[in-house]
Amino acid sequence: MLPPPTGHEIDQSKMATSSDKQTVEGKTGLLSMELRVPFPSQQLALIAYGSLFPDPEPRKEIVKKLRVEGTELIVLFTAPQARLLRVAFHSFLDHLDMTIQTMEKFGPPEPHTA
Amino acid sequence: MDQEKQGAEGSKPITVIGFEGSANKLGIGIIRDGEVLSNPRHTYITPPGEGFLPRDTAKHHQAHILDVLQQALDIAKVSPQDIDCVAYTKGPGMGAPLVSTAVVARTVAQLWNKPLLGVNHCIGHIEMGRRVTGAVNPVVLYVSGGNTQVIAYQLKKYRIFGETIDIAVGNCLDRFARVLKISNDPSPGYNIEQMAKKGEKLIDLPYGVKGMDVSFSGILSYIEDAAQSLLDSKQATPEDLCFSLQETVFAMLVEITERAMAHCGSEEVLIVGGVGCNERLQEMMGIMAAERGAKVFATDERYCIDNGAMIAQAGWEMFRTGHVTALADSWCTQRFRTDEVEVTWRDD
Repeated sequence: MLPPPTGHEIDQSKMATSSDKQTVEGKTGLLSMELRVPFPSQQLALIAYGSLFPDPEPRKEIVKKLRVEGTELIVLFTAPQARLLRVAFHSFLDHLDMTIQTMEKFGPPEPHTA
Repeated sequence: MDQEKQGAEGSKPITVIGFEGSANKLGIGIIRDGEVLSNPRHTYITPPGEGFLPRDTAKHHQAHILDVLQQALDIAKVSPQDIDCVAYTKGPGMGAPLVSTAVVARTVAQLWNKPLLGVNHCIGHIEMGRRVTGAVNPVVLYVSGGNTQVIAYQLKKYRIFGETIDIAVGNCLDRFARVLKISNDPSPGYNIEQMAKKGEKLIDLPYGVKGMDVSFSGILSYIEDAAQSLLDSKQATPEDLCFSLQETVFAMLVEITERAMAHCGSEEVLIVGGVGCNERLQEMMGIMAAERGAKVFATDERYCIDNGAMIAQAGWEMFRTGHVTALADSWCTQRFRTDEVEVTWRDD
């Protein structure tokens, strides 16, 4: 059912033996995906971080970790199945788009932001 | 009149913007010391026979939220600098629509450098109802598409005296509307109410009061099964079915509300939530209240139906008594009971 993963970070031998319906044992069996989002400033990258990190993924098999490096927001997703990864990623992109649109329409940020 | 704003903080008014998107209504309202400055709303209306699904509802909110926000600011004639606090619905409600709305609230709170405040949706209904009607310490019947609760205030909590043990009364009405393919515009409940006025025959339906609690799923199953044959055999018209369903479920709600009033010795009842703007429910509640020498308070569709001002109003009460929500604690939650919130703004 699950197409064989081809990503360079995935241990193929472990994936091949795992069942489709359950979590793969061991961290090496998880699919992961990194998204890098450039912002015009670190302040805006931090605002996007603040808007997007509070909500945990509804399914606990999916882990989403956010951080800011320089002016980039970096998001790392891990999930045991490609299908779960896609769902999490898809809704994250919608929320990311909302926060960027909000910045464009209701920014720029107040200068005295801590 | 129930405001104590001229207290320790001096007379500087407090302005709060509220974001609501827990179900199919997207609303943003601005309140300044109890006065509604603006309260625009955009509703996701589905075709007849269809309910609203979380993902589509979230898409609706995403598509309209920035325009509604601009409207709220324009109508109120306030600039972001005039706002003291950004309130949003933390829950309960549908996950995806809640988060879509909260993301924008968090973004503007940070852009404008204002404190953020997560509000319980049910508390929003109660505080807006109290504000608009002037009810002081009422027994509250909160009836909507997602919630059915009888609530009374005691010792810093809004306590739930009775509630549905399965689906909400509004969900029962909405799903019945789908069976008859009644329009969802402006809302299925409104259209059932209009049809019910022309109903003449009361069909016997199951009656689901269990102590202080109510049950609607059995009634819904019964009427879903019976509807087609009753209509085909001309034993009932669609109007008769609407009338019978309303009479039955509203009688149940009035019964548990009366029991809560007797228990609390209360002489006020406040009806809030989307089903609360049904005039037949208000009328039936009025008959019961009159017999007890009590008074009914209700609001019209501007404030009964989910809206942003109610979140701003509850946020205003919370903010002036010291509540704020850190970003790390600002996650949304589908389950958030009314009695989890410490009511710091009431001293009675």
